Amino acid sequence: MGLTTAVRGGLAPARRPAVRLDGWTVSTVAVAMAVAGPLIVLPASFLAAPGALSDFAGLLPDALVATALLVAGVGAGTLVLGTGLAALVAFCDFPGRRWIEWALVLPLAMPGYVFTLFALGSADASGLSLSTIRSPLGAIAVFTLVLYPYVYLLARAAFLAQAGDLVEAARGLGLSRPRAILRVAIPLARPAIVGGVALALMEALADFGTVNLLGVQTFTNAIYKVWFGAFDRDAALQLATMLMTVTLALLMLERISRGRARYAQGGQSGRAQAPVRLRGLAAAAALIGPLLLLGLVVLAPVAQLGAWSLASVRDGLLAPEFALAARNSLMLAGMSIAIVVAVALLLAYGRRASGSRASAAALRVSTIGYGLPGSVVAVAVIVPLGWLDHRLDDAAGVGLLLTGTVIGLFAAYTVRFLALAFQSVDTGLERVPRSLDEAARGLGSDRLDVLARVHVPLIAPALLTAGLLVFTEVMKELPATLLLRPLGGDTLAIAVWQATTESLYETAALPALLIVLVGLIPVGVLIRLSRRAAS
Amino acid sequence: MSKRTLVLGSALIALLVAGAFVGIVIATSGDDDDLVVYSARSHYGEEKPFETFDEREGISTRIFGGEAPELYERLRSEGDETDADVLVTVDAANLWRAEQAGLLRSIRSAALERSVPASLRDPKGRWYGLTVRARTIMRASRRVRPGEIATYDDLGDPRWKGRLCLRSGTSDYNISFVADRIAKDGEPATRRMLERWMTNDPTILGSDVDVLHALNEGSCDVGLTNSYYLGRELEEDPDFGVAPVWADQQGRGTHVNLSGIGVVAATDKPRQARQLVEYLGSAEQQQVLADNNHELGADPDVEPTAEVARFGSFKRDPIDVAGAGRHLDDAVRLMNQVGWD
Repeated sequence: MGLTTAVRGGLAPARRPAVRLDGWTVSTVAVAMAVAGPLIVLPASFLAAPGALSDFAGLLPDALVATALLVAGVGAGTLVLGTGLAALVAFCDFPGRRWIEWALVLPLAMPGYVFTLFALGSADASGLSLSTIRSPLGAIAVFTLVLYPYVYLLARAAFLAQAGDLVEAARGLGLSRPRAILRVAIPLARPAIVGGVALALMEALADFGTVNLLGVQTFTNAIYKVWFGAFDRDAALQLATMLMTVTLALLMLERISRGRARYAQGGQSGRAQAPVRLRGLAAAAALIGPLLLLGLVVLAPVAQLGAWSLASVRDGLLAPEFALAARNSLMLAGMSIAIVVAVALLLAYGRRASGSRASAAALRVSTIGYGLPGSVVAVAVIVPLGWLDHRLDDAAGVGLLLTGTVIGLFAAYTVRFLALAFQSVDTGLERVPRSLDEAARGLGSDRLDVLARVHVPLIAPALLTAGLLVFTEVMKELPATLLLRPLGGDTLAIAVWQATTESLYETAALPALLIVLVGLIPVGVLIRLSRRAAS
Repeated sequence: MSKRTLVLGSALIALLVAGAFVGIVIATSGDDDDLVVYSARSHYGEEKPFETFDEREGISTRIFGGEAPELYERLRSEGDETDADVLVTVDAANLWRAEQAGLLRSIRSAALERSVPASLRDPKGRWYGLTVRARTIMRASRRVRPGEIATYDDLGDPRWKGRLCLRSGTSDYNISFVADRIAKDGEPATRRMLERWMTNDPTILGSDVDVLHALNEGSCDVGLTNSYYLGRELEEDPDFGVAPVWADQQGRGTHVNLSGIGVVAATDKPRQARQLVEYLGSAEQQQVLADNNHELGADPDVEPTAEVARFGSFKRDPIDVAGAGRHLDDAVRLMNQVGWD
């Protein structure tokens, strides 16, 4: 059997059967449905209250325009900034590159609402007026600055995995080096770049804190207005359904742009081509540009938050139960790594192993949650879980086990952040040539064995990246945590939010600073590990 | 890595997660004897009445903070199984919602009826006002003279074109303000007023504090905020360049919203919950809450802070809780139509 597979795989690429009921397909589809299932309450709201949205039809044009603006602006911004910086560090060499290369990941630890808090709180010092910052352009700038690392990370990894001889070959055909990079290296990295932009956009679409603080009338803000201003949950869920449609369209766009291309290459890693050594002005610019960027996105906010924190400690304005919030944040984020990455690996490998369209389709559905605001995911999770919970309670009299506890929270985190972990794991897996699977199968290993002995070791960096992304996201997560946290389950993000809505910037500073600093730890760990792997 | 390592590793991680999970559940389940308060009032500096309650009555409380609408959603989905015993909101509309959904239980108390005027409590005793909060006109005191503006309608006067600052239309306080106007003046009149405001191209800011700072720093000249925010600013900086204008004194009076409290219908500690409501509703504790945040007590005998006392007394127009409650969605729609983002 193993041999025939190998031979068939070698002679003609296997066609994807429409439906094939093997164990991998079944488990992939089952898990994907468990993750995506709750989201069915969103479209179901149209059945429950068909006319609800017509009362708020006036919100739609604004929400569409603002959302389109945001998608276009943040898409272009992160694409240019992320890819440009990735190309700079992958293809050029300049003094300090070794440090810059990794430091550019640091903004990942800066939540949008914390950067916004910094921008609003220091508006006087920066000379920008509050109304300049509180605008769609302000939101695009904030999102671009804090979300570009998604594109940067994925693009850089893709550039480094490329064989240098391709660019060399292009140069041999008469292209200049920059043109060779533009025409060969970047198109080759397209799946990774588009994947990164898609992540950044979904993140921006799902954001609540930043757009709320900046008063941008996106879908998220409209949902919040209708739900918590007018208490029309059905209309809010219907708006959320439309937002989900936008997310789905984005995901499809990404799939289409990827097409059937796989761009698998040999297993080499590290620097496959000699970088160009920059000199003089060029080298100085290559160093100073990223440093200025980091100064603005990381150093300045951290310094300002530090100053505010000191002031809050001095004036006795610390948030209550601050240590408890810190512990809760760490535990929730830590446990989410294990849960979300495991689900992502199962799904990504399940699709590869089964190769069926059913699992591929199920997967696409299961990652939608990433483009939805946490509050919407929270409701989607709480409706079915709450129903189940009350039935359980009726049957066994055990009280509420699922909704008042961290179970609901982890369910929401999985729905929200699966896409994030999945993108990294899947990108990692796709770079492993399928011939390796077939070879290992040919040598008599079963699928699980191949996963354990071939894939997991090969994609360990991708798994680490996935874990890192999930950890920092959960640390920053606000709206779902607000709605689902158990009693005594306040987190740092909640402490920041509660103080910020009271305009107590100094009180918000210390928990915000901790979110940023703790977020830097996994970034640091990743950097160390990757550097060791590279050397 | 071998398959066995993978399986064992996964099992180990699963075990760790399960263990940590049990740990969290135990750590967060707390003491069953504690009274659980869902509170939309700020966390900051508001713990004192709860601490003294514990000292005097021997009943400790656990406060679960959040915004009132979110607390309401949570209460509703938890139903009979909720841990909550008492609900505290910062806005009358949210009390009305909870009462309408049957989430609050009626309590009768002679003491509360003495310390909370009838206009600031539910006739059936399902909620009681603790403090009241005036939402009124603010002027930049160095650029706008006291007599230059007198009514909410005046904010739409063409002379304030480009000089008006408002908080975002998502704010509960603004929505309740508009809903109350719709209940009292009808939608057409309210719409006319808001449309005039909007023709002044107001600068929309994120919080009442931002509006006050914009007034102080000169980027606008008139605005609309709750008065206690100004009390806070003046406490920090006596030279803060903003002064209140009590709106509509020749008419109905200045819009006054209330922060209130009620016992959760599904509580399993009705006696202790009632004790807490009576305690916080007493004139003495209203005074503590008012002092802390420069609010006004529901009980007229509660003394304002020095900063607020300087604003002078004024004619109040208390929010029509049921009327405004019913018009919340109309308010959201109207504000959207006139372009109050």
